[in-house]
Amino acid sequence: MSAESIGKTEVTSPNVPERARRFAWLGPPPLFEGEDTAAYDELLARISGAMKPADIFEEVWVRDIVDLSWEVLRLRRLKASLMTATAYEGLHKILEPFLELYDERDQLVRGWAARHKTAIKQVDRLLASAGLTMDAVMAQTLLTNLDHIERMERLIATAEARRDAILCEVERHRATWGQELRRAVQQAEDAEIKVIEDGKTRNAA
Amino acid sequence: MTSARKTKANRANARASTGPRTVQGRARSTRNARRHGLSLPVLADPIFSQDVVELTREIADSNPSAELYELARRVAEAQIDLCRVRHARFDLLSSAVGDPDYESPSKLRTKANFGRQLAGHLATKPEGPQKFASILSDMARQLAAMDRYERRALSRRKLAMRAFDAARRQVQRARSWDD
Repeated sequence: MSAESIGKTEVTSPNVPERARRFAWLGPPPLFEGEDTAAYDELLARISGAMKPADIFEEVWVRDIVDLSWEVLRLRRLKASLMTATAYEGLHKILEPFLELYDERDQLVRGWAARHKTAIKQVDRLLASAGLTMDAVMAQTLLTNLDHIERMERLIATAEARRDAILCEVERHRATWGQELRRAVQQAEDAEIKVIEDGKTRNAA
Repeated sequence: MTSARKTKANRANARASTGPRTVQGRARSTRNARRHGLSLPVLADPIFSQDVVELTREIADSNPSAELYELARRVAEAQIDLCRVRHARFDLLSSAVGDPDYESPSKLRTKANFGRQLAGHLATKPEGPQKFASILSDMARQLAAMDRYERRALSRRKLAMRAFDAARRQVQRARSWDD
């Protein structure tokens, strides 16, 4: 039994350019300048391949899931980059008790951020002398960026919750049509049995 | 109590305040009340209306009943509204991310509060991940407003899709009983 026979729009899973043409009303992919179009297309192809959308609703949901996943990935990546890019600020704060002179501390932190070997060694030695590790620096960096990180976390949580809600809708939609499909198959089987039984009755008569 | 002289002067000054005079200034002031336009229904826009009609046809498939067509139209309207909100949010963020001269308004205010000599030492043009974090922070209010519109559009679409599915199921059942 085809999808069309149970009242569904026959939509096979098209490739990326074909999909872009057919679902132009969904708009272009939400990519910022410099973001990897090929990576987005790959994600779209992977999710579409796994979901195998069977009608227009499922096509819309595939796009939603891809866009929300892309946003989650982007925010997670930026959160990690923010921590790395501002680690020098955390280090600056951590080194305060060791190097009281601002200029001296600033010079060391700049050297550490530029990955100069002597500066890295000196920082490691100072941290070790107080029983500290880079975890303390990262904790301080987190504290410095807490507002930004919290905001990103909220956005990630919202996107993930929306993606999960869409997946629930997909399951609900498929369960509905799965039931309909089973019912249609059952009715077809019943009709077939009735025809066979009628034939047997006629032959017996 | 305001003196009569002051009241007279205020009125004279108010009469002289006729708003922007240049064409660009007047054009800009016509858009003062408009922020993102998301509070307007999609059907108020002729382009979006056409998108709704086309999407309704695609959802409803061939020869739909009047009820099914109406339900398909509701799904299409919610979907186009959702697209509109998402594009507005994306445009807001991407224009700031893509702007090489982006300056954080909050830092600019801090800079303005400092003397000219100190202002030069305050960096107001963030780069890389700091720039994105700064944009999220600076645009938190607009993003929260857009998020509310998106949430409502998603809810409308979910209910419309469920109603459409239920109606289509009934039609299908009726057809199978007829057969």
